[in-house]
Amino acid sequence: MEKKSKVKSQKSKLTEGEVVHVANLAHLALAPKEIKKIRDQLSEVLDYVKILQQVDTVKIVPTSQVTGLKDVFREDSVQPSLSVKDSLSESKNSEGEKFKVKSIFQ
Amino acid sequence: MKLNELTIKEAHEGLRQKKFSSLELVRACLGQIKRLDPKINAFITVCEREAAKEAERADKILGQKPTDISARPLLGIPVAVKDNFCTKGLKTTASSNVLADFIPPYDATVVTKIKDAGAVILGKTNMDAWAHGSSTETSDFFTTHNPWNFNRLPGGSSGGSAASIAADETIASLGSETAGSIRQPSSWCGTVGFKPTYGRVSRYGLIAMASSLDCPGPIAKTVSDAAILLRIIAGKDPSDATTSSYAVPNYLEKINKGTKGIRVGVAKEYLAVAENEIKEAVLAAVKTLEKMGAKVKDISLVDPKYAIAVYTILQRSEVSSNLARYDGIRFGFGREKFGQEAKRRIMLGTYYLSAGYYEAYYLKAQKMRSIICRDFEKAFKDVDVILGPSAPTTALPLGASKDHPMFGEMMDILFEPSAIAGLPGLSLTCGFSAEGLPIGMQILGPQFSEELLFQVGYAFEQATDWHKRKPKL
Repeated sequence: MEKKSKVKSQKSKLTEGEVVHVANLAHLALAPKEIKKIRDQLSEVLDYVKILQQVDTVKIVPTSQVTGLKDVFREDSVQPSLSVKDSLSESKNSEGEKFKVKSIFQ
Repeated sequence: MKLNELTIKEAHEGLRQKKFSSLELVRACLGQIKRLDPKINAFITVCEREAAKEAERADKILGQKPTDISARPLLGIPVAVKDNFCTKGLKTTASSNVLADFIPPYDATVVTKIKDAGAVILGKTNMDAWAHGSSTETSDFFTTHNPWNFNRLPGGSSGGSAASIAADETIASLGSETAGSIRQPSSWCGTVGFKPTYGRVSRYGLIAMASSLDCPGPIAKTVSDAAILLRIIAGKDPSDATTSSYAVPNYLEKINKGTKGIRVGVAKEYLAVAENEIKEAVLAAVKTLEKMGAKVKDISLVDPKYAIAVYTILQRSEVSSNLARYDGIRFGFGREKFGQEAKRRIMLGTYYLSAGYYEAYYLKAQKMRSIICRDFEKAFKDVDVILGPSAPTTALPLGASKDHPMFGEMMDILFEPSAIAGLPGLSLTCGFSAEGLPIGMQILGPQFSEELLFQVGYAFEQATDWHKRKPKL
């Protein structure tokens, strides 16, 4: 599996297209002059993390939780929670008891 | 001695014996903030009126029910809180323009806990925006200056909390660490910083950065003050499923047991990263502990450069997921308000997690994380604690982090391995550079060994005078 995965090869400079694609995925708008700068900076970091390729991890189990807890349950009891008024208190665009959002479908 | 210079322990005793009131204590801190903070910039928000009101309330309790103070170790004591902990009715920005006007409708668990213990919240401290950085220079508002030298950085991300302690603008403070954000500014500002075991302290209400690493913790003037604070904020929280149900000990109970027979490991890979002056100070500290009966042993750990790569992948990935929720709909402003550093981190994380790259980056990093965890487990079979340098340099000049996409990682190289493994670490001052800047060392232990770390740190502090030195302000 690992061998097949896509890792940027030796000179791993991102293309401007890749930078714009990632920005779109992350819902971030970049100014044209930002693109080049960010491209260089992201490429620098991608170059650094390549050192992990020196380590053989084929037989290693990944760690996502360091203290070993899993399946943590609690009583499903009703607790006091925020009022609608408090929940809406920080919104800049609400109507009645609802948040107003942009339409998704035209 | 001025009241604002007191430790938690001294302030608590003074209030108990009615040598001064909480209002006097709070006013002394507010006075110091007024005098110095225009130069230091440790605080984003100072709660002048509210703090005075809370102090009056504490004084009333002290007058009517003086026994209450025994159950409430922070009664009437001013605490500065990092601005990424939600505080009900009090602006919480994470030093980001996205949250520039955010007033949370609830308190973080640690804030509830210090309030229950009687604390007076003095204000909210500056940090790197979203805690992304090790300098406070990524704050969207301003940079905090190091009280030891105003032309130097305080470190970060909890730079405001550390600077406020070093400048005696407060008695106690709260910070948070993902990898170095408590220990590195403590090292640069000459304060005591404690990063607890992952899951020892609840993250509920802490603005999330990298959820598998985030950990609130104290920044204080002495080791015993850090122990007092940790006992208050630690413990199981139903609102954070990662918190541990291990009982929280009274960290002061065994704090003065000394270091006789304790096995201290010194890793050559850690010493190799630090500047000479720092290395010498740390080795002198090792000698001090040895004289006090500790058994010193040279050990070897995985080169910390791998931890940087693991951290850079895990942290960026988790950041991209956590910061995806900021859309300006329910609170705060829209995504156009993200600063450069946040954008870089979100984009890199998005890239690591995007189709086709997950296994090469995120999964690979999680596997390396396992190797680092096992490496520490192996080391702790031979030694009880590991002692090494904190930050690899002393405080760097203002501007040092500018346009350096991995500045934080390089400054936090010696914190990343232990953070990745979820281990606790205590940073405290072990000397001063020729330029008069504090030098920090850290003591690491296995998960949930907080008590032992306080014990070793306290023994060192008692044997040395470094913590008594104050910046000339």
